[in-house]
Amino acid sequence: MVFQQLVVNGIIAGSEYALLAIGLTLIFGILRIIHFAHGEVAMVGAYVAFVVSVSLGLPLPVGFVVAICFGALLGMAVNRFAFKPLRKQHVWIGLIAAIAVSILLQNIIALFFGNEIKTYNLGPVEKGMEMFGFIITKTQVLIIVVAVALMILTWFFIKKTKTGQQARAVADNRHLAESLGIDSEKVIASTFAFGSALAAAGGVLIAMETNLDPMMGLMPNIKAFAAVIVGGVGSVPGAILGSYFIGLTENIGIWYLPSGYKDAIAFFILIVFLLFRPQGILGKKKEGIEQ
Amino acid sequence: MKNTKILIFTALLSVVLLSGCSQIQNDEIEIGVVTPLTGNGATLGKPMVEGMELAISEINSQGGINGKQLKLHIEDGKLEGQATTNATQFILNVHNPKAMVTLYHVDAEVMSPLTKQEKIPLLHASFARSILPKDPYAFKINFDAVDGCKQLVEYAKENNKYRKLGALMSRVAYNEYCLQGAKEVESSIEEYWYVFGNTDFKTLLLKAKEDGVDALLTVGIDFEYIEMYKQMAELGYDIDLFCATASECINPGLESKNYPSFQGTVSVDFVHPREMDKSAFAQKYYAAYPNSKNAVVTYAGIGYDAITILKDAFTECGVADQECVQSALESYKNEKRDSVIGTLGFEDRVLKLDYDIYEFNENGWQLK
Repeated sequence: MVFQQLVVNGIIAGSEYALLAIGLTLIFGILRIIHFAHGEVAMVGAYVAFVVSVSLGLPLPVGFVVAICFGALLGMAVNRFAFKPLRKQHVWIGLIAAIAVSILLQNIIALFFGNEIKTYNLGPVEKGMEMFGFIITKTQVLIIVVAVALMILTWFFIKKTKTGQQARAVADNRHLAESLGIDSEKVIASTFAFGSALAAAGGVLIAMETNLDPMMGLMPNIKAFAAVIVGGVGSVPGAILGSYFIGLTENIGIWYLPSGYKDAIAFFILIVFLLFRPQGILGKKKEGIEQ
Repeated sequence: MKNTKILIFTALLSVVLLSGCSQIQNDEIEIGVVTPLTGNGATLGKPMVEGMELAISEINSQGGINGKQLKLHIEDGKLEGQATTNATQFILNVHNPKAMVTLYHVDAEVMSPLTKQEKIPLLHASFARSILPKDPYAFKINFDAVDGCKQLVEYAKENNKYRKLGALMSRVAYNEYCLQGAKEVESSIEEYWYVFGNTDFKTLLLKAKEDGVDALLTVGIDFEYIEMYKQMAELGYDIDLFCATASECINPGLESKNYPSFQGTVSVDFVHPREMDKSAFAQKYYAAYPNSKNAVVTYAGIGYDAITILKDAFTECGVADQECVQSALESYKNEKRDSVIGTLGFEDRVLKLDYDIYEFNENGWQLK
């Protein structure tokens, strides 16, 4: 009973991290920048769904779809106005730009919606379903199902679409890809749109579980970043694996360790990987060293 | 010749402008406030600042203090150490305030060394006392975690409200002080700590349940309480929450959620959590700030009282005499009994407040 519940808690946390980690690793793979505003893109997505579902009174699934579309547009806008003009600058400049975008988005949302915690109209809170020795709510089931569905969609995007194949080519060697006629800027914009759409979807799901506030994207994004490193930078399956590994280790770990170490567990794993396996679980050693 | 005229004109203009500035400075008593107005913590920071503004507008409309107007300089500390430090330094360097006010303990911790250097009073609405021994100019103006949690657990123990007590707490000073007070009454308390800002309590609640804990003690902020109640309801665990303070624990915004896990909550407070909303002060506050209908009015009251206390000290001493202001604050007894939050004055720089125990049932908070 206890072990099953710990595993389920870990899977829920891992699914939330994974939705952000996939976008982060896609963007890192192609641009070699840590997109620190990715969590805020997720947060904006959550607020867009809030406007659609609570302010306009439309069903939440409609809000979910609108949030994904808005997330894609926001990702493209962030790329166009914050990262593209700085493309030729040192990688640190891109990092500072990402932090600036993060603060800007937090403050814009705070300005329009205030800092008070907001919630979707999900009906009264009820006890979760009991099955196989654990308790899980419908929202948590939805989070896991949607996360898995979006992972499959991402695999399809990367492996089966022309844009996905071009993205892999640009990530592997941008200059060579350009010499073969691939419009790398177009590919980067598409990758930002796809990754940000996933983040917005993740933001809505996280908000369904833990409500909305302008800072809601911060901690999941840090955990997602750790998951990306642990799984292997630039590797989508690695990001997913890293997310579930961190989610499970955190939740099972605090059963045996003092509970205050929950966040420390994620960062301890991160340090161990950086020291002994910097390429991550699924990354290739050569890439890890170069990165 | 022409240059000489310009030079003389510029010099005269400078003298006029500078004398004008110094005139403005002499006519105003500056007070600084740094507290979160955005992000986590703003839910309490905003009403506190609004309460301060309300008090200042009343004092100024009655002629100010000895003919001088009070002026409030507000900066957003965002509940972040660096932002709070920068904001405090900015106010101290630019506005030369006669007193500083803040809300949270974490903010007061970073502000204290700066205000101590300037030898100006720092009124902080912290639950913990840890700043007072380090800073002789610091005054605590809110619920006291040691006294409050001690009384809360005392009541719960005497009335058999728990079989095994646990503490679900973020690792911050006010919770450590709360646990210290609770342990004066109950030595055996299971501890479940988490990092401040974390809102996933599922595994900690499971751990408490497996340990046989049937009541959890905590001091939290709104975003923590919301998740604690929600996750307890979702998991269906029969664990009661003992929380401080009542007006924050199940505030009007949260009460509308009507979670089944609210039932059995025991709390402590120095104001009646619901009567406060209907008080004359609350009506005045709502009239001035119609958008703050769901705000925690207690914090508007704390802000209002902070200004009232400073006004009394400045009136007694004049602004320039810092030693007198310090002494007036230390011996402040509120003989007029005009406090919104019912304070009796300072004792060892801790604002003395009367605590009552409340229990939440289907009719809301009930005084025990």
